[in-house]
Amino acid sequence: MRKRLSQSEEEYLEAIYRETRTGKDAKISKLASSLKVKSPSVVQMINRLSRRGLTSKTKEGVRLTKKGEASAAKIVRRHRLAERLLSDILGCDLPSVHEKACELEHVIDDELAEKLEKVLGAPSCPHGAPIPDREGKTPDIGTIPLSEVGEGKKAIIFRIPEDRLAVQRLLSLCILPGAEVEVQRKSPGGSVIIKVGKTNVALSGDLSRNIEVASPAVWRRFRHRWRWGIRKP
Amino acid sequence: MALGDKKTLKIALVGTPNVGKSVFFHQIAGADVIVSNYPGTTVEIHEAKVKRNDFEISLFDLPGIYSLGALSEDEIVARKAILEQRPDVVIDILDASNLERSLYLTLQLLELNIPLVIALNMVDLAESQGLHPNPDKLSKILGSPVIPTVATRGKNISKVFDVAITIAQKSTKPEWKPKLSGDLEGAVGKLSRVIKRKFREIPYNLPPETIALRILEGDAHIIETIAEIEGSEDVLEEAERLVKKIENIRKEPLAITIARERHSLAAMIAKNVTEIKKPRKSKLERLDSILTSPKTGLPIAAIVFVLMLLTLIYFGGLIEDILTNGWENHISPSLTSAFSHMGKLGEALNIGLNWGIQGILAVIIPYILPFFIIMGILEDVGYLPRIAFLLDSLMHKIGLHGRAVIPFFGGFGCNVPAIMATRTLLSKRERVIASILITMIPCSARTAVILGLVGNYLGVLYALTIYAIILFLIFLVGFLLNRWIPGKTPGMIMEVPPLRAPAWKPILANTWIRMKHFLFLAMPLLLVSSFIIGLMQVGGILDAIVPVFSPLTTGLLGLPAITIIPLLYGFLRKEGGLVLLVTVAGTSNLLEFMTPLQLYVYVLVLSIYIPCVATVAVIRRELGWKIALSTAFGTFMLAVGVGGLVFHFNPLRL
Repeated sequence: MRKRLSQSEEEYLEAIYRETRTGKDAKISKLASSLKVKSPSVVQMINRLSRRGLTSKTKEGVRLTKKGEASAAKIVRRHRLAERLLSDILGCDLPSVHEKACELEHVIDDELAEKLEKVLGAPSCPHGAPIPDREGKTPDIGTIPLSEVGEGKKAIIFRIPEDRLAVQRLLSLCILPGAEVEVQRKSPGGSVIIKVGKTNVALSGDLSRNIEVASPAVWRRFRHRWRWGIRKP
Repeated sequence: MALGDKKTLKIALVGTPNVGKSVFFHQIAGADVIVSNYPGTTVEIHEAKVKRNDFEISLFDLPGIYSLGALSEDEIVARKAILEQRPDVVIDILDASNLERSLYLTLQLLELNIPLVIALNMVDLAESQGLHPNPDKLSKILGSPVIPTVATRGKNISKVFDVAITIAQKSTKPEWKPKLSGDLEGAVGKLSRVIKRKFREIPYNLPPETIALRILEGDAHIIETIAEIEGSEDVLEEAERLVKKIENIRKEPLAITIARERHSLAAMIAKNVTEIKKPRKSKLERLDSILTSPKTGLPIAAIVFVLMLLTLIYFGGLIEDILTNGWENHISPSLTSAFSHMGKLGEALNIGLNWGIQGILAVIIPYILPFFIIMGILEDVGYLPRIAFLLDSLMHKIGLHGRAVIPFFGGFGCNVPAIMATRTLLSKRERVIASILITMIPCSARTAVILGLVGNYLGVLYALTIYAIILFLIFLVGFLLNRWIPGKTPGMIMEVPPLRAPAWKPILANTWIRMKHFLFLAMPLLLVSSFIIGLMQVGGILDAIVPVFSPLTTGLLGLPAITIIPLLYGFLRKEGGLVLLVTVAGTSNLLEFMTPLQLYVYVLVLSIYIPCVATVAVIRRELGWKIALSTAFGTFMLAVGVGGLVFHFNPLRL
């Protein structure tokens, strides 16, 4: 009989899932910094996960196997549903939901996730990341990172990072899913200056690469059909 | 109607909503405005009596409307005012930035065949959007005078009124009437002939064609007015027949056909007279794009930085000379004589006080005060966030982000306020990394030592190599700290305010507040620690220290053993290491006392080892003892290590 994944195993799978969304392999150092642990512990855990057939090591780092991908998508699904629950129903403020959901996700099972999905009826977490469906699939929206929008072009934000500090600052400047931004200037390192409303805001490369945007038309389609992004509790 | 000798004129202002009509009105009317409701409605009409060119003018500001239809109360009131009050001239105000929408109303006014003057308003806004409507072209097409205006700045408003008065006097009608498609014009012609035949007098003195068009459009107000006139049945019957005929062919209500024709005519005219250029940026916007483009922005940032340092070095040096000379020649001697009666303690107090106050005169006023002012200016005009943006990616390599550039910049003036400024950084991790690195930045006192010793005796190029070594070390330490300290740096999210001219009052106020903070922290420390050094000197402890440290000074760094004394003073105030070195050397030509290599190593060590006592104190206050002591220890080891390497390998062949 298959042993249930431990909490920390789940955390690792989740982190690898996030890091590999761009199609690249997850690097050990990146995983270490995002999980706030030392690199040797990462290596140790990855060996464990690989033995269970969930991950496979590559030259660049690590990637998920088919089986690992399915488990990871399930955890991410629970996490994002938990975020929805926290923000839409319980009225928690946006910066705190990610950390709270990290705790909550481990006590949600498949049945509960199913029920939550029905009640919440949302296609995305409040940060605008798509919630994987029962099979672990996410809709292909065709968003691109903000760092790839040309100077002088306008776009609508679909998704912001989840990190509490970042969300706090983004929230105070109204850089949220649904906000229209105009890229004023780009620097080679990926930093951008964007115009939100009447304010110009400079963003680091790691943020501009992690903010997903699309054209206003795409936004209208998703907002209307699925009420993407944030809702008032 | 002959108006030649008429001394009173009625002028009506018409325009779409938000076209700046009220601004226009108040520019001319001044404060003397009567506000009244148009009879039977809630619609307000503003009226003012104005005297101009011997004319009594009553000026009406009609409600803002998009068309002369009968859809809203505003429209009905505006039309009634024009048709029934018969103004001598109508001033139609157009939105130059949205000409098409404004022209729809203008076309309807032209159909009425009344004296018309057109004010092309908000040309400044249009131009900023890259739209350049040509008033002459527009005037030629519309057959009426067109004057470009900027109502908010009062530009050309008098001209509009002068032209309006001339037009009103001569009762000049527009030379052009909008034409519709052939079949519509045919119907209008047929109906107008019936009207001419049946009616003895045409309502409102309008041209029969206009009445005909209005009836065909199904204008309720006109049809009602006509219905009361004798012979109207035949007219309306004929109209009914014509409408049916056209609607049968066009398969849509005639009103819509006519409205569409007007709209497309308006669009065509707008397109014809408007030249589209790339939006012109304002001067500040252009400056902004120069400052933030990496190609131009980075060199400019470098120039600003160098200029700032040069100002501090030359200007600060000048003030320092004046102040310290004044102190040494006039006040210090009397202080010394006052303390001379108090024995050993007096001697220590004398040294402490002399040193402490001299420190304030030599560093705080000449270097730190101008530095705060320069920083204040850069901050107030909004330049600092732009540097932060440009250097963001570079700073990420050392575990910081662009925002940390601002305190870093400050560190070149004085480390203490720079470390206080790290409070703007988001995480503790960043604050620790930034504070440690800031302590390594050559502040103005260290700059004085580097230039005064290496620059003076060995040449400016060697002085620059010291800067290069230090900057490299800062980068290296930052890189390592970023690897060693767990966690990651959240990215920069920083508002970039628009550039603006400096506002001096807040700059000076901020400078004063910063100076106050700094003095409260640094002054007692300077005075107390100077007194302690004074005690050590008087008590002979300093001389006893020299042999204790000789393995370090002579053995590892190859310096004369006595240099430990100026190095100790350097912990108090970095530039003390310069003044005291001259004292212990007993000669002003230091090259008689030390070899060039020794001088170089001495300055290098002095620049890197343990930040001054005020800096250590501020780190303790901001981040605790642990960080403060480990910073002191770490930089000490780094200085000794680098100094020893330079001495033993002599890479510069000194």
